[in-house]
Amino acid sequence: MKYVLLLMGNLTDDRCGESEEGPGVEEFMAFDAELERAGVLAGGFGLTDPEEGTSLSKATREAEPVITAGPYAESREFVGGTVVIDVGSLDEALAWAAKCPGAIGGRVEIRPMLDV
Amino acid sequence: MVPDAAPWGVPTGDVLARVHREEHSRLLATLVRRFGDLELAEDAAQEAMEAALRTWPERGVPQQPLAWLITTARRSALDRVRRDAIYARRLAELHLDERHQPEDPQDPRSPADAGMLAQGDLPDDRLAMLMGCCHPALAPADRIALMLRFVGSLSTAEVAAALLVPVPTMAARITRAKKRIATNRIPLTVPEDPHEREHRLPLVLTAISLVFTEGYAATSGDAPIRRELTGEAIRLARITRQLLPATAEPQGLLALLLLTEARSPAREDADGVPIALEDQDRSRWDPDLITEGLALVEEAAGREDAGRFTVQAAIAALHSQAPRFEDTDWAQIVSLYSMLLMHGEDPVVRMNRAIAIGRRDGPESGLTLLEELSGEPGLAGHHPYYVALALFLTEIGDRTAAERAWDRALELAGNTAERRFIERRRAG
Repeated sequence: MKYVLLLMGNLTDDRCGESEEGPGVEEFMAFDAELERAGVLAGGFGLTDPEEGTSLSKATREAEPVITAGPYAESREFVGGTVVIDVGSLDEALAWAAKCPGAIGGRVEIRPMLDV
Repeated sequence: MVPDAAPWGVPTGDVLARVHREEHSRLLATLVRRFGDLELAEDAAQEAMEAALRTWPERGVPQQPLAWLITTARRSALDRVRRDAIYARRLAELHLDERHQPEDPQDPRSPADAGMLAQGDLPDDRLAMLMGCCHPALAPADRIALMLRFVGSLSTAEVAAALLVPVPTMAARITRAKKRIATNRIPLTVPEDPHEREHRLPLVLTAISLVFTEGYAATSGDAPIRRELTGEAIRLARITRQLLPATAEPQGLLALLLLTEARSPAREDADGVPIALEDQDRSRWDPDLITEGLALVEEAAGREDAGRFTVQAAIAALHSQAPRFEDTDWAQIVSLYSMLLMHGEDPVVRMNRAIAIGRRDGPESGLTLLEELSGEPGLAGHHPYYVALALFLTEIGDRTAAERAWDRALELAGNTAERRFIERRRAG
């Protein structure tokens, strides 16, 4: 069964790096390599910073799209990247999430992928 | 092989109710292990229970009722799987563990005649169920509901009544939780990782103690003690202890619940208003529960893995050993509360320690410590804190401050009985 690990960051506690250094790129690459070796990696991607994003929304099906710069203003949380793993149970998914560098000082949300 | 004294003969409704209560959770847990699917297991268990209701009154209760039920349920589950392609696919994905399945599913004989396992040899899968229901990925309120439903074998309506929630709300909560278990594939198993297992047990014990507390100090309604819930919590604690005989904390929890329950005959007056520990008629405490609780706590306290439930049980034990309130060993109680704080910071424990110090050293000492806790968010809405404050303030003669504390306590009381309790104490 496929689970998506959503690597969540928070806009308020930022990477200005006063206190503890967050996980580096090498750590994420090592994590990916470990998933690969274990044969559970089933996809994923990393994202550029949330302020690089553009939002588009339509109030109704017919409405003109409204385009704004940056992420949804109300939300402090953003998705920094995803990892898709194929494992047998939530416990296995949780065990991998516990090893994910994105959990350090951030949050990893585990979501079962919709079976279509 | 468990010797069976005598066939039960044609059952009365009582026998059926007892079998349901005692065996249903084991039946369900076994089916969940075998089929890995809660919904299928529930349906099959239900069908087996109905088959028992149909056939036992005529043919008598089998000597091994649980084995009969498992065989019957297993057969109906396999029928369902054969008929239903969706189930078949789902089960195929789950890589069923067939190792513990000695009976032949194709056996055409009726379950009562089939070569069955002796009841004593049947594995007890309820620990898996308990730990699964208390998975950290489930909300704490859901854990309690699932535990009462699937380990306590209460119906949804009974769980709703016990937790003072409307039946449709409870039904929706249980359905949602079951859906969450299915879509996330939350394993209803004992965690394989020892580290994870060690973390899961406290969640199970906490859920059981919350069931008890909910029964003992209802947060709403007029009756402060709801006996059926405290009884249910004790039953769950007994099951857990029986499943983990070598672990201190289930034993400590059971001791704590028994020693607390022992006081219930003296804990409220004829009108249902709680009576404070110092005013209770100790001759009404249940001596059998105390004897059992004391023996359990003594053994648990000697174990290396004794934790916070065992320490709490030791505190309850000291209260039950004091012939009068004045005889309470406050020095010991203070050190046990200090020990409890080492197991985790908790403002209520700090409050109780402050009260115990006040009893040991005099009201001024207690008051100083209680006042230091005045900024604690965990105590701001907790009426016992203001009651303790008011009592110490009265003892040192500060009437004005005491009145203010009584007023605050009254504002925070959750039910009528609690309000009357506070009013009575205020009147002295």
